[in-house]
Amino acid sequence: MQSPMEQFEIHRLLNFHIGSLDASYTNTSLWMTIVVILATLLFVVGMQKRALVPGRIQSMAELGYEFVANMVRDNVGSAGKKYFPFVLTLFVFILFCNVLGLVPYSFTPTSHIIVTFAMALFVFVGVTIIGFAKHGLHFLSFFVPKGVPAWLLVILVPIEVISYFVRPFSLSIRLFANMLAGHTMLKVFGGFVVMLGVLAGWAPLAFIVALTGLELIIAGLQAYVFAILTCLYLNDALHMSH
Amino acid sequence: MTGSDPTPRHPPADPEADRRRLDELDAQLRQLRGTVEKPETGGPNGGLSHRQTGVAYRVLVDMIAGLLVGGGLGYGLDRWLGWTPYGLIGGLIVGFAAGVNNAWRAIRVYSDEAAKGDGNRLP
Repeated sequence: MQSPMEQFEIHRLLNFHIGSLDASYTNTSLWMTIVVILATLLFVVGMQKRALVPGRIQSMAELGYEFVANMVRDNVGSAGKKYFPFVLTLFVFILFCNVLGLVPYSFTPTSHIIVTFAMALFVFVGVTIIGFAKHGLHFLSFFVPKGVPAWLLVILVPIEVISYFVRPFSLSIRLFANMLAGHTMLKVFGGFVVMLGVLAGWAPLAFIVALTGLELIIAGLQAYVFAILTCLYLNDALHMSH
Repeated sequence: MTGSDPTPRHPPADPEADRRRLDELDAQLRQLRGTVEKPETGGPNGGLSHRQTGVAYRVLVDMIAGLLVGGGLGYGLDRWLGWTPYGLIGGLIVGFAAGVNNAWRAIRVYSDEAAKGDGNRLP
């Protein structure tokens, strides 16, 4: 029987080597390409008619757009308008990766920590640059809690600094762990169905159906959490409020 | 919706009447939304909502990631400066504090929202 972790293996589809760098086109690259194409199609084709009463595809595109627009407006304010395209792209990309990963025989790029960490690091570095660009060196006072006696600062400033540097890790681990755990669990129960056969295999099969529904919720929820935390970090950098 | 629909079965062809009917529909929808959706925002709902589960996940991962980053930093200091094992111990303590700090901040934002009667909005 196949191992439940086999679904996360990366296979080279096209071999590319730039010097010593292995830049092969793998199955994870393929699925990210599919995600980008489908997401682009949703917005480009969906909005082509620009109907007053939207059709199905246009309605989905508008729902996604308005959802993220409200999220940015509520959490960052009007200063966040500039960063709305980035947050929308991030949200749609993660959502499509998560949901398409639930299609049988597909691959979930977000179940690899290098993918989620790359996105989280991009957010982290970008937000830090925005903070310094907006406030200059005054941004460093973000790490100094207000109304605290001086001797306590010796302990609190390192804690605040590490709290800040934990962000990309917690952001990436959350998404990756949720995807990895969910897909592993589906595969494990799939194995039970095969093991128990026709007689008793129905129980785990019913569980898989319920679990797939839960995974669908988690796929959306994790995309939402990633996007809203990006908004909160942006808000911190722009307004420097704890 | 109750009662018979006041709009005629065969709508007139001119655009003015269409617009008037759209306006009427809009007003009706707005009125219905006002009566139906208002009570939902204030009242507490039983069980854990998905957003609340989101908060729980966030807090859990924040604390684990704090430990990982602090421990990794301490281990790195140990390897680099030969402080074994004090770098790892100190790093774990500071990392744990940082994780709790992040978790506390997440919970505080959430409970502020909850106090305002808007608790289901933020993870």
